[in-house]
Order: sequence, then structure tokens, then C-alpha cells
Amino acid sequence: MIKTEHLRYAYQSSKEDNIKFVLDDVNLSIRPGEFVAVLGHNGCGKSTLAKHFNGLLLPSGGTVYVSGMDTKLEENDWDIRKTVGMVFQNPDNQIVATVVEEDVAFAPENLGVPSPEIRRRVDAALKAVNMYDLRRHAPHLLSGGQKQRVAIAGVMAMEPKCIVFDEPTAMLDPKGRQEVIETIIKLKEEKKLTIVLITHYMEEAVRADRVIVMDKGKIMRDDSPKNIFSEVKFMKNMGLDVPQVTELCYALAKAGIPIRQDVLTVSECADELMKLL
Amino acid sequence: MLKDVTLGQYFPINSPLHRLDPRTKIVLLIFLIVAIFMANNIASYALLCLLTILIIGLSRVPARMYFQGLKPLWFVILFTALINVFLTPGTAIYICGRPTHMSWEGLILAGKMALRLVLLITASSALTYTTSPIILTDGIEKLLKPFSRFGLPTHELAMMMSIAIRFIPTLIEETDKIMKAQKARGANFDSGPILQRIRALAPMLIPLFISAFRRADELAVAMESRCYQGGDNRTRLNEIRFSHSDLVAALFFLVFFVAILMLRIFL
Amino acid sequence: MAINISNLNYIYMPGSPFEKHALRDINLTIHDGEFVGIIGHTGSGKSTLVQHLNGLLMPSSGSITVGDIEVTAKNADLKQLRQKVGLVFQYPEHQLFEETVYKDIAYGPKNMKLSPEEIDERVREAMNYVGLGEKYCERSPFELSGGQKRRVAIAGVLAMRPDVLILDEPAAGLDPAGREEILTQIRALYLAKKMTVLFVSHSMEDVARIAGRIIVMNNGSVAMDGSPADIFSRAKELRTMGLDVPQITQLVEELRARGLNINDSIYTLERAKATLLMMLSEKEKKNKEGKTC
Repeated sequence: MIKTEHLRYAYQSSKEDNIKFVLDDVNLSIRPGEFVAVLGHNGCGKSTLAKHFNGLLLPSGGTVYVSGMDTKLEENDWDIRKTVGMVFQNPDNQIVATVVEEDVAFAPENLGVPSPEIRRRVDAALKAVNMYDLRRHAPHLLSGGQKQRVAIAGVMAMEPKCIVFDEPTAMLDPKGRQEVIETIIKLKEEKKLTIVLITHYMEEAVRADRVIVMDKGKIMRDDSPKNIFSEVKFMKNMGLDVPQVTELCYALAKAGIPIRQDVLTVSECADELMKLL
Repeated sequence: MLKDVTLGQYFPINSPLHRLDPRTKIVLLIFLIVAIFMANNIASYALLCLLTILIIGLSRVPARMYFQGLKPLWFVILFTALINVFLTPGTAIYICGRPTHMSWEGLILAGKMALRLVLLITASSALTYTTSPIILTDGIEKLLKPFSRFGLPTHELAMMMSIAIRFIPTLIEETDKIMKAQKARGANFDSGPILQRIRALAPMLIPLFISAFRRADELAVAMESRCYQGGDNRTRLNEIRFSHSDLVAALFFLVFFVAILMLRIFL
Repeated sequence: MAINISNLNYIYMPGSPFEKHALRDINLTIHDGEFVGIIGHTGSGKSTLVQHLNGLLMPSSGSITVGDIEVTAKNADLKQLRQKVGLVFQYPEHQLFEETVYKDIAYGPKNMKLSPEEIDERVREAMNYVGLGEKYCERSPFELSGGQKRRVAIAGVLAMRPDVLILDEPAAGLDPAGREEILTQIRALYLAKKMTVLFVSHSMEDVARIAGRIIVMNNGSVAMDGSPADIFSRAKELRTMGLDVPQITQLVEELRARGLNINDSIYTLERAKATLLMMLSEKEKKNKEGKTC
């Protein structure tokens, strides 16, 4: 679905002449239907990476392929954007219209889709994110989680194969965060979409099929959530959190208790503890 | 929070007026405005009032929404009326047997002016209440289309307008928040000499501009990701179409317009 | 500085179609030197409540006193009040406006009409508290990182030397390392300055770690008020209010549901670890005894 080969991205800072690599030799392959979370602290290059996935940024070195299309070739631009949709952090700054359904229609309108087909896509997208009942509402009166679901519907209406989420929950409250994550998982399962989720919340990364940890523009780990989070010390060094139960098991194991360390959920942890107690 | 204030807001329901082609509504509003200024006697005013009531009825927007739209303008209406009452020369009005600066002519003129303003505002509100900003700008864009041949960027203008409308509530909310935050640091926006007061606005305006630029930047990226590439080959969710009811409305207005014209000429 | 709130009601835009009873019959006493966490989901009234404490909002009915200032009195000195009660808004970095970090932090003290020496002293003190070194003085606040900007904004409020510090979601939008840093700093500040701190958040985990008392807001009323241990032992109720319960609390709940007798007021990792270790060693002891018998 998405493939990067020796991807580098650099920008020249204006003051000094030194070149800073925001992305440094990133090799990565995301398969269709996968749910990949990219974790890393602020400034590790994860958002820059995301912007390469739909050609918003072009590599300084190496190549990015989206469904086999090279992002550097200009003639691929619109096909790539149609294939890989993007949802950003601030829900307010990606809503264009003053009525929910008109906003969702924005992308297919840009693509020149005929009206009846737009109507069908808009309704389907709004139903997929569970916002159909609020289709005539003004977006500025919705909650953060609802706005973000409208933004997701707006991308869905392009009928992309993959959606890249760039910290979609960073500005939301716990309830909104929950709404958005459940929506993402539903899209993966029901619509078989490929999902790339950029985040720094480990609770969200735990739900992915695969987790990539980035630091200083490089990929540090690329593995299953179980394997990644059981490396408690490594994650802390990266400035990242691990689930509290994972940390608890890690702490108990360190104190000499024979307990598995790759637990991620409360019930798994309870299972392990009940075996001992 | 100021964000809930109705500001020429769209009322999302379904009514005969909502279904009209925005171009019809814009053109008819222009004709109505002309008619309001042409009216010069009781009969034509009565006709205008009747028509406005009909419009309110057809829009299915509750009448109290129209009153609310008038609220911020009561002052202007009252003020112009007072000026007219006092400054129009004519037969003085006697109160308790003594002449005052008020004149009967002024009183009548004031009444007419006030009525005109109310009719104007109500008629324009009827347009904004029944037409979503996107459809409205779409209509303006289509009406201006002939001018794009002369280099007028009609699509860009329309897009700018609709985005501006979209961000008004967001920016109002933001202003409110920044003002409160600076007040918490001892800012004083509402007293002191004028120059000082203008300078006191910097702590509010600078963050507001910075945030507006940031928003614009992010919005541009988001629009690009959603394949926005200008006005060419764009389609619409609700393609505007001149229909049977538009024709009926136009004809009805024509009759009405002629009636006002006749009243002006022959009465 | 103690805060007293009695029978506070706030009705938002009364008489309009948007009328909303945002705060209902709030009665609270916050003692001098307390560290209070205020939690609730969006729209629960927590932000509205704290904006009353420095007179940015005025109650529809009821009274508020902060120290010896009666906020609700007609002739209340709001200027003095706002200096005593420092309020740091959510995303405070969005209010920075000066060319340099130093000037921005000096904005509050300047509004207090202090002498240049006094201002200088306060700015440096505030920068020190939030861990910004001398070298940041002449930097533009706009070229700093998100976390640094936020610290500049907090310093801007600290420079007014408030007796009560209110922080509205100070960790919102930061990554785990940034959040950790801000929370540690706030805790250190509280210990060093002995000020009263009100910490508004929707993250139970953050509040659990640093507050000595927790007030839970729901639908404009105070739903719970007590020590963290009290509050977290009522996990079920918290969840019905749309709040997130820390995983440790969930674990304790789950273990109790499976019949394990474990104290239900455990809410931190350290306590959980200590308790579990104790239970495990007791069990081992019993096992050994069982074997020897």
C-alpha cells in the first residue's frame, strides 16, 4: 500500500547553514488492510513522515510509493491524494463548510463526482462515522469528537484505500478520544481500510496491529504492540508511556516475581495475577 | 461565549423558500430592495408589508428569529427616526399648546424610514436564513460567471467568502478566550485615554492574527489533501437548478414590481 | 489564601434560546495551601467555575470570597483580585504576543504598575520557577517548542506572584515527556511557594498523581469531593460521568470482581506494586507453612 525506500527529508534552517535531517533513511512497508501506529515524542519526525504518505511533502532523498505510484511525479498527485486521505490534529482547521454534509461533500466535489453519486457517498460516509443524524448541523456547535468524526467522513467521501491520522485525538477530551478511536477501528474492520495512526498516546497504539517507534527521524522499533510495550525501559527512554498494567508487571518482575511482562490490558494482567495469588 | 450569537445564520430546515435557486433569491432580493426604495405611498407600503409577511411565512423560519435579527439594529433605526423627526422642516407639532422642534412631516418621514429599514433587514435575513452560505456563494459565483471572462476570479472570491463565514464563530470564540486570558494578566481593555486603549489591544490582536495565520495554513494543507484544485471541473452536492417554482416566484415578483411602479407613477 | 463559595449559580445567556444553567448551587471551601484537582468532562462546568474565582465571570446568584476580597461585592477590586488569583488558561501559549520571552513575562507585572527593578526581579524569579534559563530572556517566544512556550505562558502568570494558582488543563496536547515535565514542575512550585493550587483537568491519571483533594464536577454541580483514595474507590460512578479511570483502578476493580480481597482505594502504580508484593509474599509464607505442616 505504502512503501518508503531510504526516505530522507531535510530542511535547511535559515540561521545556520547546517542541514537537519527530519527523516533519516526510513524504510517501511505498509500492507493493505493493516493498522499501523507510529509512536514518538514531539519533534521525532512522525508528522513529517505522515505528510510524505500523500505527497504533501516530497522526499529530499529516497522514494515513497503509494499503491506503486511514485509521489515525486507530479502527474500522480491527485491519484495519490485520492488513495491516501489525511485527518489532522485540529478539527476546527479542516472543516471548510458551515453545514456538516456540505463539508463532507467537499472532496468529491473537488474530484468532479456527479451530484447523485456525491449524495450517495456523503450519506455513506456520515453513516460510517455515526454522524448521519447531525448532517444538517453547523459544525462549530459540535463537540470536538463530533467535529473530528465529520473530518473523517470528509476523507471517507473520497473513498480512499488508506487514511493517515496525524494525532487526531491530541486536542480532544477522553470522551472525544474514545469516539474517534472506536470510529477508526470500525473503519478498519468494516471497510477494510488501511490505517496509519500517528499518536503519542500509548492507549491508542495498543489497539494497532503493528507499532513503529520513531526517534530523531529514524525508525527505532517496528514490531507488534506486545513486543514493543514489554520493553518498558526502552519506551521510557524514548519519552513515551507504556500501559500502567504493563509497567506494573514489569515492576513486579523486577522485584523477583515470576510474571509475564507482555500484558497490555487490564484483564490480561488480572489473569496473570490471579494465577499467582 | 459569543459563538452562539445568530449572525445572519442559516436555518437548516426545508421550506419552499429554501428550495428556490439561490440566483433567483439574490436577484429577487435586489428587485425587492429597489421596490422598497421606490415605494412612496401608503398603498405601496402596505403591499410591501404584505409581501414581507408572505416571505416570512414561506420561509418557515419562526418570526421571532427575524425579530432577533433586528435587535442589534434597533438603535440605528431609532436614531435615524429621531433625526428625521427633529430635522425635517414642516408644520410644527404642538405639545401642551406650545410648538416644538418636531414636525408632522418629520414624523411621517421617520415612520417611512423605520419601516424601510425593517423591511430591508427582514428581506435580507430571509435570504440568509433560507440559503446556506455555501449555496449562497455558489449562487453569487454563478451570477458573476459572465465577468470571469474579464479576469474576475469568481470562484476564488466565492470560496474566500464561504471560508470567511465558516470561521467567524471560531474566531469570535478565540477572541473571547484571548481577551479573558489577558484580563487575567491585568490587561485593561475598557478604560483610559483612546491612544492607550488602542495600544492595549496589541496583546489581543497579535495572538489573534498569529492564530488566524496558523489556521489558514492548516486549512490550506487540509484542503489540498482533499484534492482541492481550484474551481475548474468542480461539481456540487446540491447542484443549483432553475426550476418550475423559480419561474413562479420570478413571475410573481414581476407582477408585484410592476404594481409598485404603477403606484409610484399614478398615485 | 482561602476561597469560599456559597450557593453559586451561573446561568449562561439568560433569556436567550441558548440559556443554560451552567453552575448549580455550588458550595465549596478551599483552604489555604491546598492542592485541589477539579475534574469533569467537557461541559461539566469546571472551567466556568474557575473563571468565577478571579472575576472573569460574575455569578447569577450566590457569593464568592477569596481571602479578604468579596468577589461578588459591587465595588470589588477586580484588579487586585486578578493579581492574587493567577489563572492559566488552556493552551496558554496562544496568548503570547511580545517580541521576547522577557517582555512577555513582564506584561502582567507591568500592568500592576510596579517599578522596573521589581518587574525584573519577578520576571527572573518566574523564569527560574518554570526552569527557563537566562539565555531565553531575549529569545522570541514564537521560535520555542510547544512545551517551552507553555512554560513562558505559565511564568507570565507566576510573575504576578499570585497566592492562588489556577491551571486549566496545563498538560493538554503535550507528549508524555512534556506532560511529565509540566506536572513535576507544578508540584515543585506548589511545594516551594506554599501557594494554593487548583488544577483543572479531565485526566484522572494526572490528577491522581499530584492532587491532595479532588472535586468532581458533573452537569454544573459538585458530584464528589474528597481525597483521591475516596474518589477512586467510586470508579463505577466516575465512569457513568464520562470520566476515564486509570488502568490501576480498573485492575483493582477487576481483581475484586474476581474475588480477591484487595484494598479498593489503590490508585497509583507504586501503591499497587507494594500491596501486590505484600500479598504475594504472604501467600508464599502461607504456602510454605502449608507444606511444613
